Amino acid sequence: MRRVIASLTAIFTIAACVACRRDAETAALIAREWQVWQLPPEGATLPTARSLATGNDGEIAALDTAGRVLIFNADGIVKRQWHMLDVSVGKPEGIVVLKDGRVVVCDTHYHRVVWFDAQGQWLKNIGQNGARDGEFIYPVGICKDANENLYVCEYGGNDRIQKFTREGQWLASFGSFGTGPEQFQRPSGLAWHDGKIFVTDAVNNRVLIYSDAGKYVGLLGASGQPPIAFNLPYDIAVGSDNTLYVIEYGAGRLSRVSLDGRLLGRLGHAGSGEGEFATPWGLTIDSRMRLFVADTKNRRIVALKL
Amino acid sequence: MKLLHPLRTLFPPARRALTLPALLPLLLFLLFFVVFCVGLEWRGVLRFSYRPAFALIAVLPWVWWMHQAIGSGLSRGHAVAALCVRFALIGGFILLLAEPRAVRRSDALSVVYALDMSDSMGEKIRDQSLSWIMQTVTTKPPKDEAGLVVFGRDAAVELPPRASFPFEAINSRVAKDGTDLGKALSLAAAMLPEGNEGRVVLITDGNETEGNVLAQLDELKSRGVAVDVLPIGFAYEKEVWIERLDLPRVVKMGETYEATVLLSSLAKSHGTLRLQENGKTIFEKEIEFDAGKSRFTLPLYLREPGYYEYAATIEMPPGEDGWKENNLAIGDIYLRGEGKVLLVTDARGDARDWEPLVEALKAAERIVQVRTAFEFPRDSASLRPYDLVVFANAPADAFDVVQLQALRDAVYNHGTGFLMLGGPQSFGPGGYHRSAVEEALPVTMDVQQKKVLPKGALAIVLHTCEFAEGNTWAKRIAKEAIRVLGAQDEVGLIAFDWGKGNNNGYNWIFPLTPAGQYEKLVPLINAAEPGDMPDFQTPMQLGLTGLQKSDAAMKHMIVISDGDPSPPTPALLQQFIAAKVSVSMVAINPHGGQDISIMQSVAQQTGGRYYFPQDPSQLPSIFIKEAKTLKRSMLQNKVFTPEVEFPSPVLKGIEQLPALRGYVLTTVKPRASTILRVPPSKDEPGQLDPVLATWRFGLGTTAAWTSDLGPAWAQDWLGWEKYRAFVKQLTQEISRVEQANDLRLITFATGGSGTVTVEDFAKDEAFLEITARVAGPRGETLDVPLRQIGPRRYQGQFPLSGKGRYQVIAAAAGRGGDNQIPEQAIGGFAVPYSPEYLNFRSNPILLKQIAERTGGRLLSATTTDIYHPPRQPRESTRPVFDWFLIVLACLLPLDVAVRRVQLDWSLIRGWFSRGTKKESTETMGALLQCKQQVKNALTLPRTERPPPPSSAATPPPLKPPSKPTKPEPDDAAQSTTERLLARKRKRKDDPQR
Repeated sequence: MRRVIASLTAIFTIAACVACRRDAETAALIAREWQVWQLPPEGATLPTARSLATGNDGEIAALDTAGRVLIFNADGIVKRQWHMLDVSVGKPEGIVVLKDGRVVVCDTHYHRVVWFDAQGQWLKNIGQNGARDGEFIYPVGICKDANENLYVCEYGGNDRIQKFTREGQWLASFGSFGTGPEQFQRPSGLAWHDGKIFVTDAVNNRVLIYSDAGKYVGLLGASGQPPIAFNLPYDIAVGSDNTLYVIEYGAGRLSRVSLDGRLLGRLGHAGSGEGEFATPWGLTIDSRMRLFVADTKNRRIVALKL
Repeated sequence: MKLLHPLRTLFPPARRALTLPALLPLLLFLLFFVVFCVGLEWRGVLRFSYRPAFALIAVLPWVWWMHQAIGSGLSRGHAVAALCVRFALIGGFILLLAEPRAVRRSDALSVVYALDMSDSMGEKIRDQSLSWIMQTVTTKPPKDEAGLVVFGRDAAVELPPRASFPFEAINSRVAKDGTDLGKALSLAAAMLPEGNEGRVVLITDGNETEGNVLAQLDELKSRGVAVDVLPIGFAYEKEVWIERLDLPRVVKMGETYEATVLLSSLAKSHGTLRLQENGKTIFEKEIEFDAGKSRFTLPLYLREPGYYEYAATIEMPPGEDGWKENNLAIGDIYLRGEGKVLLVTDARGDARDWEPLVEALKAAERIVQVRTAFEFPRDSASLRPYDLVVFANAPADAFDVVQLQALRDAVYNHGTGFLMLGGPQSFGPGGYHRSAVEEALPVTMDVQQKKVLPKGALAIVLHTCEFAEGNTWAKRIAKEAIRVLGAQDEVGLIAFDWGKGNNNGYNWIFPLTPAGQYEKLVPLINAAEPGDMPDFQTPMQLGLTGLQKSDAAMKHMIVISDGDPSPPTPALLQQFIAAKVSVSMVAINPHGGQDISIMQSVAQQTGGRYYFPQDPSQLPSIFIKEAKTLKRSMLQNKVFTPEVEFPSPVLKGIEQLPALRGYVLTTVKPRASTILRVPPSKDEPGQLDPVLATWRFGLGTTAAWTSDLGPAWAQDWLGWEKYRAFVKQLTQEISRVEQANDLRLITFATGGSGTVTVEDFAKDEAFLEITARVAGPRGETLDVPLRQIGPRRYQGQFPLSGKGRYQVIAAAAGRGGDNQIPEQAIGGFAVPYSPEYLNFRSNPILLKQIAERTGGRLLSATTTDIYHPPRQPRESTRPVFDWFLIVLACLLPLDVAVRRVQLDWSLIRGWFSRGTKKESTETMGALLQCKQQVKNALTLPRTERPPPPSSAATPPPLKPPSKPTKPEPDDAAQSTTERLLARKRKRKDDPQR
């Protein structure tokens, strides 16, 4: 009898250990705060946010499906808004805010990048439809490094990253279209951290790492482990806690990953309630470690704290 | 004593004196149970739906009494535990019978907007209303819910109430030519979740044309649904409308008649009155009129027989009229003449293909009109001048659904003959499968007999969410494409549905499935909601994998998209080329026409076609055309001489038939007659393909000639001397034969109803039983019995179902005996505009009533916060019967176990302590000793029940009986039952004992 009890105890212990390990692999993140910001209506439509960026003084910049640039204050109140120059062909999908307050937008369907001042006055465009340096096919994501060099990712058969100065002077381009290493299928979001560019390779369901000089580093994943599997990762951001956050359009969830590629936890699944996302598109993080998710299908911006 | 016996059985005398401690478990449990139940109710945790069940608490004292009286033979502590478990069991049972329901309390508010989409609202007001909805929705607290119902004559749910409000555009289609407020409120209220406080926000002008909303308000009030109303106000001071266009009922060719226009106006005004005949203006005049009704007469002159449609319009100066839609009245005159034949061809066809047939028809003394499919009439009344309609290799996608339905109705209701000739654009290859025309034909396009017919496989990728009503179109075109396919052809649909599946959200709505299962596929298509596709690669790969697994001979893929998903890789396109799977790309709303390069390239590389329709209405014909590419195998190009299957007047005087060089595979319907057929081949002796089949369809006759009558397949027939005779006899067989009768049908619309009047002009007067069958504009049919209202005059009325054309066929029985075919008269009228356009001001009084009687508020356009009225938390309950049942199921074995199972705690302790083998052995020894003692005791005669052991672990030795009893003779030989019965008898004999 003692043997039986001992065996049962051992089995339960092993099972508990395995369960704990599995739990650690996909640890559920818990949102301590969950706030919903609504976008103002545009006539008879209720647009939804696609891309987000953190601005100065706690402001959050958003692009929406009405082709508007919206500047929210830290409390979710719209302080300023303006329309893109042209929206009949399509709406923009990438935004970043420079330190001097200028807003740079990837005008995706016009194959160009547009600069506005902080008040929404148009300053300049760069690029046109094409595959040469400084030209674009569907520029869709943009980020900046510590020197405010800009990195623009594009898709549409010429999938690559182009690097510009903050004034729009072309510096470099890297990556190509495909499924192999160093290749993308719809790179839709990117983030810079400590000399590295992290690129969400949406259709290939992975995150690629490049040096900011354009040298391929590898795939995001723990050493000796297969790369982390994502489901249409659309955007990525680096928090002040030195971890990466990836929003997944297909899975409707937020993943937290260490810089060395360990999956630290996940939050959410497809849905419309609290703790759920529906085709989340954009992500940004403010200085207070509040994460902002453009929860596109749910017509909301979610401000959350982990 | 006998009466007391059952009572004593129920309440046996106590075996020992009752003390307060013995009563304590009962009192404590009763107290606990009552407090527990009352507490649950009071705290709102549970609600008990059937409280009379608590009367069963009365059972508890009895159980306690039985426990005390009979005793359980257990130690005191054990007995108390057993009693408590029994009490718990009964308590659980009582709770179960009381039908417990768990309570959920919510202070969230659910709001359903009910937006009036009827014509009287107008586009501009609808947009302003939607803007107001969007403004108010953005003020919604996150936990509150919002939904949207749209309504007109009927109502539909656009968005069910949810915390998010993912409004894109109004996709629901409702009939706009009426307003049914009751239906709208009923649907909106039904959408409100029971657990939340619910409100309906009604946005309307209050002009109710259908139903009675006031009758429903009490029900809404009783359900606690408040209706807030946003009244849309308007009032026209100047309004002009045409009430009626009266045309002569009986006309003759070459004579002059008058048409009368009845015009109404709210004020004195002037305008231009026009009358159009078949689209051409025949009268135009500046007129002046006063407020009220005015009558104007216009001249008519009919030069030749035919069908004449007249439209009277009044054009008003700017600012002199409110609704422009009601400035129209329509009427028609049918001047019977010699029947014509309408030959319908494809606009891209070659006239040489049908010229021999036209000549043959003319030789048969028929008036022939050749029209392209584009010119084909759109209503069955316009086909009345034609005795026969012939489709000469005109494909289905050259018509629209309305045209094909008009043909079907003309055959069924008016008796028009119909002949379809074979060819590459006819029957199945022409896309007529599952169409209204197939319904009328004596053959189906499903080829069931030909087992070896190579089948096709079609995968459709839908990315349609990015244009207005895109997903509604997606469902329609998917069904159109499947409809065209043969029963054995396979079809599958792929779409992006976020959060589902293992292929990045791309899933088969249904995998490749035989198109014969169309009826099963339709609900799946209707339930699909294609999402925004990020790439072409994954869905195309998914589709290719599916197509590669199919054994179809022809494989094809259609992708419809706005063109901006990430392109497929060159490697994938190579796979398509290697697998011989062509891909056709349909670019719809491709971001200003710029995002087309990817789609063009894919179509070009894989051998498919590229389409760039300017309007979604072109999509069905594109999808039918694409699906038809899989149907080429139904064309049989072989030389054969048709065999006579069944004698017919068509073959009168014809003994030998020339050879034909091809035909289209079809299957004869069960009730149809096959006159000519293809000789069965040696390989497939059972296959009987029809060449000529006919049948009756409604009042008309239709025929399918699966070969052609031109130079392509009937080359040898053109020089045949009996060719013209054959064509003449065929047209005679199927053409309508008009029979003169003495009935005159008069139909017209007045207000919301239509009137049918039949006048009997027969020589001999007879009482007739007349029924009018009315076919409405939405395909609905209604039988209206007519009653006699005067000598030879019969009348009936029916409710109108909105704008459109109403066909009426009156059938009269009662003259000429029972076997006489009923006389028929055909007529109809058109309602030119919706009754909504007869509302010249809104109805705020009704709306105020709605708000007041339901406890709602009257809102204004400046009200933007509707989500903060005083709230009352709403309770909702759900049954938790199952949970209590589980608890009861656990208590039941526990109740038995407590009484029957004796646990040796020292043994259990021994399992978890070291060196206890000796103790265990000692315990086992003690048990064996106990067992022996019990055995010895059982062998002794017993006079009374032994007292309960004081301890299970150390049972006391059995005492000898206090009074020796006389041993029973043969006691050992008696069974236990016999011994017990004997003892019972003994007790009865000695009640003092």
